[in-house]
Amino acid sequence: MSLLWLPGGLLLGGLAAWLGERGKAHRAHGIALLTLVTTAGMLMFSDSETSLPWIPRFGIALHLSLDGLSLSLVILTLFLGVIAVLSSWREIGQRAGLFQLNLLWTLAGTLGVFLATDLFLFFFAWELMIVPMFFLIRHWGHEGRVRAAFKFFLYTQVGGLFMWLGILGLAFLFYRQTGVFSFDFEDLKGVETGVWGPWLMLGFSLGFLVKLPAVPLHLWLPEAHTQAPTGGSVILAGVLLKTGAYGMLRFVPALFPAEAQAAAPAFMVLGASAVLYGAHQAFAQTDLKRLIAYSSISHMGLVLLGVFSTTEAGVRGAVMTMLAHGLSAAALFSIAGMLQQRVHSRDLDLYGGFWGSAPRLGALTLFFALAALGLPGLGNFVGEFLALLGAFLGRPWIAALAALGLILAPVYALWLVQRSFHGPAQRAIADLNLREGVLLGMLVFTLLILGMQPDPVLDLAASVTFPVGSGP
Amino acid sequence: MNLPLVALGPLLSLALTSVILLLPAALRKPRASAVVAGLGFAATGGLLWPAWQVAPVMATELLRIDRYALVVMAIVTLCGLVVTVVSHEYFAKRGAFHKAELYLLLVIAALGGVVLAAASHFASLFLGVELLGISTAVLIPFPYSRPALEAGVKYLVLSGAASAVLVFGMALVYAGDGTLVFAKLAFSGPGWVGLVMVLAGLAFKLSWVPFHLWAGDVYEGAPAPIAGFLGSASKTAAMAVTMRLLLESGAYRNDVLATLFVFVACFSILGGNWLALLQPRIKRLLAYSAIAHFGFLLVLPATAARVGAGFAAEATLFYLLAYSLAVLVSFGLVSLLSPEDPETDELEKWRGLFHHQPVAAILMTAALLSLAGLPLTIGFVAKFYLFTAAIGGRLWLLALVMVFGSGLGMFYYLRVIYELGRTEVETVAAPAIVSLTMLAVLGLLLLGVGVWPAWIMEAFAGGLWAGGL
Repeated sequence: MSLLWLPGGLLLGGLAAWLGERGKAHRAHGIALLTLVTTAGMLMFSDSETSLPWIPRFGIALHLSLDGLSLSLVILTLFLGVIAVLSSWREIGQRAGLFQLNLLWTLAGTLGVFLATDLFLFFFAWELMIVPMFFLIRHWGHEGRVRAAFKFFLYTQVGGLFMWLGILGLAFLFYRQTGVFSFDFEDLKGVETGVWGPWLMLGFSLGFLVKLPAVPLHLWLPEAHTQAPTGGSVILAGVLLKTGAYGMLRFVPALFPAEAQAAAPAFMVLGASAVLYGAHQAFAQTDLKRLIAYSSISHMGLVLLGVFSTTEAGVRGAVMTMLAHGLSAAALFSIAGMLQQRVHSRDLDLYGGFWGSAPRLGALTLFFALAALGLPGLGNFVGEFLALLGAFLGRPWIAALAALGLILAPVYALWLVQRSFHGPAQRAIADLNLREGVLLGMLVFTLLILGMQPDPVLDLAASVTFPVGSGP
Repeated sequence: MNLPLVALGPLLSLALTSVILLLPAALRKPRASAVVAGLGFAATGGLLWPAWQVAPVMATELLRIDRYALVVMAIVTLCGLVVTVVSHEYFAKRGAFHKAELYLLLVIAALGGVVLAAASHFASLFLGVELLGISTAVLIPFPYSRPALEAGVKYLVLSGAASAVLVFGMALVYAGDGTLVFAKLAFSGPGWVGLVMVLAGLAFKLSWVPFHLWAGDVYEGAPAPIAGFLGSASKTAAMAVTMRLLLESGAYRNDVLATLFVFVACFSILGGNWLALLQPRIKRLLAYSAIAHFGFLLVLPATAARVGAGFAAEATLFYLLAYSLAVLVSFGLVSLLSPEDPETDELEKWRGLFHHQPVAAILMTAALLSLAGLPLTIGFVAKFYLFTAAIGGRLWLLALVMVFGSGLGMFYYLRVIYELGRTEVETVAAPAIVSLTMLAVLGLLLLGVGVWPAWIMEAFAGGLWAGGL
């Protein structure tokens, strides 16, 4: 089966959800769920590579391929898609069809990003996922949604355009050297970038670092994550941030080996400062979703650190952190959505003592908070440990700096649990219902698997050969 | 000498239509005029096909009917047809102003555009500019309201001044070279000054900074369908002839001129986007965004020496097609959704359109996303051409300005889309099914070419100028 069916199926499913809603929200949710499950089923029968001519005039093809790294991220995307649909089942009552259209189209763009091996197609998909996400935040978000949506859109768009300049520059150098146009990743790897190398890499990196986000470029994230509807936050934190990390991992080192090697310390410092800054900011938040958003910045900093440690362990750790953070952040945002639905506020000052009335929700929150702080036995620990190990092998001082984040993470994670579930009971809330239990149960299960048996996933995901070499 | 009648078919057909239109216009039958004009445009469109087969043909020294010209003619004819249909609905609602001569003027203006598309000689250039300019100057004040009259007078006076500069420039070119044929120009002696003056005259039509001051007022004062014609057909023809002049005469190889283009491009992109940024009126917003868009287009003459004339011509055509489609859809919707008076011009009137007229709102969204250059729309591919040219010409500074300008552009297009989706609802007029269907077809084209642009590219790439990419 052609790989085009994966994003294509989601695009069609989105239209089906929109047209099939007919005033009944659960129909739209059902169609969306069915679409995701069907797409996951199609994944089993997919080819590992698809190439169709698209714009031959410029050597652009619909070239998609599925290797271990892509496969693990595609699975993550579809899985979190299911989580996002489930977590918005009750929350989205109005215009649910349109909501699911936007959700599925965002996911389709994301799949395109993870699968594309033609850089034109990659950019196409990259831009494609931004517009529906804008609508998700804009129409179904919370009180400050307009500002958040605009900020999200402009930051990621302008970042994307810098990447676009990089892609075109690379394609042009290829044209100058060979006389034909090509946007194919394999072709462009061979380009002699010469003096343009650092600039082109800067263009690529700006696009990816905005999305990741690295610290000075992160300003869109706390607002977008906080204001998005639960399903949107799950997708943003779980999947969209991973596209930036994926780009930094797959494209930057492969296209600009020498330049990436030279810039690696700078990227590691960026990563380490994101770890510390994100954790520090998370601790100061009183808005639950904002707290989780800042913790995401912290974890994604670790990914950047791992990728540019230029060691095998670091890269494996980065990939594992991508997957595990996707799951744990999705879980925490789902919980935030559940609490908000019950309390009608995200303000931690209004929370407290929920354990008495909702022990199961409390226990699961504690579980995911422990996952986020990197408790051994769960996926996040494996990722964090390997990323820091890799960084330490390369540049011990930067690793030591980033490791301080391990002290800060428990502080904000336990603080979160303490403020919402312990202390005197402010009020009683309903405990988990079946749908919510299933949703969180699936996430618990996958995080445990990743933590207990990381090897198959690590081998699958890190099968991508890393051209940077093994350490300085 | 025998004239190549097949190649001249589109021109003859439009000229004949304008003669036939004199009859219903004299009898004061607006509806019949609209039908004749529509049929005339359709026939012109049909005659493009046989002309395509025989192209390229030199029809005297004045007109060069090649594929470049025919593509531009196709765009102008399409604009004429769409504007005719939309105008009929728009003016029929405003009974008193529904005059038969409206369509006559529209056909003559389109004829001017078609002449410009093929002009390869200063005489035909001037003829086209005047046919187009004078008839639009009459079309703009058509509702005889105060702002419309003001806009008309403004356009007429500035257009006259621009023509004077244009003619003076031509005279200087002739003084230097002793010829008016584009391909034979060498710009010796005072010829360079003449060329710059000619370009200044054309820059007025294309509202490049610093010749942009009229744009906002004229777009806002003119009735919406006419503003749409001004934004699509008139600009397309003027840009097409500017490119042809530069490419055929070889003036694009001049470094000083290229630097000048870069500066004008930067100022137009930044200025136009800046003016549009917080603009609360949609026609004015589109007028300012036009300044920016044609600033973007200037990257092509600035880089043609590096990326090749063939590529520059192809990119021009693609961008003009993309831009015209989006402008036709957006101005068409402004016209159709306007109740009798005043027009649905303020952005807040568009609030919540999505909830009671989803088709119109989706079309508007598609058009705006195309103007912003987002994927799945033709605008994305058009922008790809321009960025490719900027990178290929190694104009990094201009490329960065383009990125910055695109970012600003996204912001104000999103502002409009944001209003469309709000929950508060304003009522607007309901468009007739025929016009809406026509705009929907344009919208589908806009999306279809955006997803599958290869076939259009192949058509535009062959048989233009040799050389280049």
